Amino acid sequence: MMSDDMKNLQAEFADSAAWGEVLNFARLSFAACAENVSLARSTVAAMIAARPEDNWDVTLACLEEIKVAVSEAVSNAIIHGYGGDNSQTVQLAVCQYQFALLVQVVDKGVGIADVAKAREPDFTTGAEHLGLGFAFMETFCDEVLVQSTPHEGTTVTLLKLFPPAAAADEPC
Amino acid sequence: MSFSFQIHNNTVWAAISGEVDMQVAALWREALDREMNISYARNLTFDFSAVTFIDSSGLGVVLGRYKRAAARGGKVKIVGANRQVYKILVLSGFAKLMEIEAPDGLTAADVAGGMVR
Repeated sequence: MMSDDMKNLQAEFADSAAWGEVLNFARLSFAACAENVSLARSTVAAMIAARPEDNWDVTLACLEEIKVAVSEAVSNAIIHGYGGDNSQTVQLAVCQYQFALLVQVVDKGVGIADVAKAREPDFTTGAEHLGLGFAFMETFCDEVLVQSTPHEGTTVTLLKLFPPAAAADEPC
Repeated sequence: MSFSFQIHNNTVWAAISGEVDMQVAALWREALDREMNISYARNLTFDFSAVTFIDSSGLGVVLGRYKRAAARGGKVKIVGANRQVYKILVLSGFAKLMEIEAPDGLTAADVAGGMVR
């Protein structure tokens, strides 16, 4: 069970064989408005919560951390990618494996000229923006990929690993 | 989501409930600023006991109000945060700026280093 674009996404990670079987996937397009930040993180959380019987050692803290990471990625797309233009579309893709979760957030907005600089913790574009979005994503995920082209948009891919319960000393 | 304000002992007591993200941030910021404009109270206490989620948009509002309160010599405090919210606050480096009440069984040292210098 996997769509072709999920396969393309997975191909960017060398160690994806360790993720196990694909359990579920979803793709969602939504308006770039503030209300949909919670829609996006709730979607991801609901997918995780729907599979308690699988071999997922997902603690409450893990779930909350993933929600923060998704929230930051989607907020960035809305605020920075589209500059608050609600008529634009953000795309969310989620692929759930036995031992991993892959989340992709895509905007077709302004893009980032210098991705490395944007990922620095102190980088910020506004007085009340903390510049912590990427720092939270990196802290709460195992890998964060950012692909961006100025004037074409930004794709952020979050990978969270959930090792098999037996192998995990600390689930997060 | 809902928020409320009380003035007590030279302190604006600002309670907010639910998920504090981008959707809530603008409204809440506006309400807090209005409250700080009309009140003579110098200190600000955030009551987070009913907050279930916070991300950097919510933290931005807290930091902005901290700067305002500090500029007029006030102290800022955060009380009632749950474990997850507390962790986010400490990771953000807020514990260096303001007093944050720790949830039971947790201290700032349990949360690995702040991300803001």
